[in-house]
Amino acid sequence: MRTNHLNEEELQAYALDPEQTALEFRSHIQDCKTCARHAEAYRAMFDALKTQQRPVFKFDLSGAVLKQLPEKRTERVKKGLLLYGCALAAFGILGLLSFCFRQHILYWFEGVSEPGLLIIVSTAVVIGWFQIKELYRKYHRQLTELDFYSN
Amino acid sequence: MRDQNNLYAKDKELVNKVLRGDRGAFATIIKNTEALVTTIVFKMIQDNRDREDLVQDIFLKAYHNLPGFRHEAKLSTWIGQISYHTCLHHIEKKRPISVEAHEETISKDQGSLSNSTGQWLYRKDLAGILKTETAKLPPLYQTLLTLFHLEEMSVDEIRQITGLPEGTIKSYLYRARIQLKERLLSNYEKEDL
Repeated sequence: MRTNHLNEEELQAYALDPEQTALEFRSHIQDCKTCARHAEAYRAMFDALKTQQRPVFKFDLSGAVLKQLPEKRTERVKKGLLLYGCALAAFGILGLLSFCFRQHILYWFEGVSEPGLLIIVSTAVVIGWFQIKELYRKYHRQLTELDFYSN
Repeated sequence: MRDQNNLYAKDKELVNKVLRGDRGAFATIIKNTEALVTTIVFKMIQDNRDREDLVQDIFLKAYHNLPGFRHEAKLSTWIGQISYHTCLHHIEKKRPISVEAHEETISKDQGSLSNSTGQWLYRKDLAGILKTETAKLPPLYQTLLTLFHLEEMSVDEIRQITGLPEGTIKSYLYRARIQLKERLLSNYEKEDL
């Protein structure tokens, strides 16, 4: 049986959840009027905090915010189009160069079997795709963070 | 766990709709998080005009940064985080926020209460007294108490919103409760005289 008073931390823990409190604390509170009063004060305070009135704004918040949003996400669409345009142009240039220098390119792969060539090309394409994707994600994240802190 | 996953899926759906240009979906996000944001703004900011400007700024900031939201936390937690940091930034612009400056010496005399304290706290207009006394606490204490007790957020969720370490949050909550209890009791003793 505990003889000295509970400290504030123990009283708070008891008031928050009596069931989770150690048995010796519970039995002390039952016998000690001082601790019981303090625990009761905490409990009343927590109940009041839980049921306090929520503050509200006296204007239509949703309407006010929606009014300030940009009409359309045109900039985003433009950015997307620009990105796809660049990617297409890059592929076009690469395709044209490959076509023009096909003799030289074929010379590099002379002696390589068709399945081997397929593996090399597909691996290069997959690696390239992931590299570009990661590069774009990183760039986008950095821009977003910059935007966040500058707003 | 399933509820949590459901919530994340709903958040994802709403965010995708907004990113596709659905303004109605953003109105839903505002409706879902308005109470939390309003609570944070009211607890941290004293001036009413500033509150009105800030709450709009918070949602506009959320809208513009939505493409960068990576669903690592609940959408409400993320918006709560924006609210907290926007308010903090606003306070810091005006004057440095300090918990210690508001600290008062807390009496540890446990025997000074009369027998009817508990009943008194229930009998009196505790809500009214609590509102007045809570408003005297530092903004950070008010915010933490409200997030924990009114919004019923866990310490981990509060950590995500405020960026404060768990131990600091627990310690601030502990001190805020003691301060508030002491203020309520001294209020009681004054009226009892």
